[in-house]
Amino acid sequence: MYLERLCLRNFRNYKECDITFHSLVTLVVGKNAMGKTSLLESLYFLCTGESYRANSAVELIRHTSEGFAVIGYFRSDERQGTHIRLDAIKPRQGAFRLKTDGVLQRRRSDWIGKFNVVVFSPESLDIVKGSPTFRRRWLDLLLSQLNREYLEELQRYGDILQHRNALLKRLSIGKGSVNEISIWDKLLLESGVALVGARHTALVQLSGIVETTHLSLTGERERLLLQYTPGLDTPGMVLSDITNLTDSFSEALARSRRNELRRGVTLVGPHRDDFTLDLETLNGNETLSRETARTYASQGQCRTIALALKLAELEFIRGDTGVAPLFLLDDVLSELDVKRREYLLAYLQDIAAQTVITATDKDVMGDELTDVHLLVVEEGVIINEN
Amino acid sequence: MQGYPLPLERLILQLQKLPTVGPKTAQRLAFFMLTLPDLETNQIAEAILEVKKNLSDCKICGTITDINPCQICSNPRRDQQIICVVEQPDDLWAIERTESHKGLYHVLGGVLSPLDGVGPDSLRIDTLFNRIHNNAVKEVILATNWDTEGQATALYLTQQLEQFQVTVSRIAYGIPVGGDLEYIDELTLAKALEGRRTV
Repeated sequence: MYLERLCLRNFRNYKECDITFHSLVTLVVGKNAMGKTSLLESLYFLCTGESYRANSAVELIRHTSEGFAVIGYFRSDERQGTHIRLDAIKPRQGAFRLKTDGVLQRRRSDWIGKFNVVVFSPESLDIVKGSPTFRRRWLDLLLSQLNREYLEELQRYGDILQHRNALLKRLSIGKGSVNEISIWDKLLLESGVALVGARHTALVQLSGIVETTHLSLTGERERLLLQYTPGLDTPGMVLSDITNLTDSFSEALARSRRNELRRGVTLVGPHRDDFTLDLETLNGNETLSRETARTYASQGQCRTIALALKLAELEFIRGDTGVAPLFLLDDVLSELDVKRREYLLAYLQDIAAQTVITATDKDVMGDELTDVHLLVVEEGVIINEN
Repeated sequence: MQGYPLPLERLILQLQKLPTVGPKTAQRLAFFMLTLPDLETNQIAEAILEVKKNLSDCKICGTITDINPCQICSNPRRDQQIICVVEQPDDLWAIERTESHKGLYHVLGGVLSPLDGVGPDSLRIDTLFNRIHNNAVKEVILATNWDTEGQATALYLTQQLEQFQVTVSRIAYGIPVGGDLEYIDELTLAKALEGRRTV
């Protein structure tokens, strides 16, 4: 899938904007607060229906206007160069709408995953340093893009969880019947096991890619270990075995029952999932130390870890779909040292991933890439192109 | 600004209480009613009043009826040993239109939904158990919807019905008749595969 053209109307600080992409790599250059990031944000929104910065789509509407439109024209090389037009429209009053070739898409699961995207931005550091919520969101969005059933299961689990919490709250103040809770246990269990199973399979694969990528990025000097820690609080369970998993989850529910009734909230389940990131310092074949990245890694190490996770995400999507997703690099290239930057750019060229990069200075690219489409942005207007 | 005359304003406001009717539609309906002859507006008004006055819940199955017990419950030719449990009266008519259920019905009046504060006590579950207990019911068909709440309700009933000597079944879910496989969403197709039968 190749993005050929992007049109923005009343998106963030863009009133009207029409860009034709003619290289695999596009570099968007401008001073701060000129609209570089907004351009990437619009692309991300088009592919996912979400922003990676704002909480609601309304925030993306240019002030004083009644709504925004983002229109993308894609060419699918996998399908003999078929052209696809994608429209994302959000009126200030009313719901977000998405159309593919003019046809309204009713459900998010009908179109999500057709246009895959990976973004590496300063916010990506939250996956390393932030709360488990950030890591779950990252994983969920990745898996939802690739697997529609996963997305639907996730939504189902959310429904069940809300009902179960409401029931626990009622029981905690002496209302409702205890007979009911076993029903919601059973539904939670069924849906939760499906989610944990899918996350386990994905994380096993991802951890392998993450480890290799991180070794390359650090010149074999640091090893990054990613380990899934399901929110079931049951040591020794076998994640690849559905029966064992179901039993473990069921035991965990039974164990936390009293606490749950007291606190009126579901305490175990995939909504409490997390994964750990450990960093091993290597010297040849010898492991010198092992530390939790979240607490011990330096800012620079965290950035490298985040980059390894993002490249693994890209590789994971490529492995699943056979096509490299659109890669967005938001203001982070200048933060990487020369070696990591070179590795990254060489890799992107190698897999022919369409990439859009923002920077304050066009020299950030170095001499690695020759065919770069340069866009200069000022106050939400493209003032120069070459 | 001069608003509508008060009686018209009132009608527009009342019409907006109807589902799917917003201010614009209410306005159109109200102006349309102004053009109708008196006889017809009387008929509409009377029909609304009658429906409340002459309809009640069937004391056996809970559906909406003009005679009590309802036509189905008082029909001796219906199979008294099979009860089909549905959420709402309109579900009953949907199944009735298929003409493939010869037994009786039981309308729950909703589904379990802790989020909306609906527990088993708010549904007509006790009356269902009384019917099963007092009559020689052999089979209960659970025909609640296939969403989360409908599933939870079916699960709850299955568990509670274990105390009776009845067969409990759940309506199947899958491919619509005449449905083209290629147009069916993956989840429905997956469920249909799961629930496959030997032929």
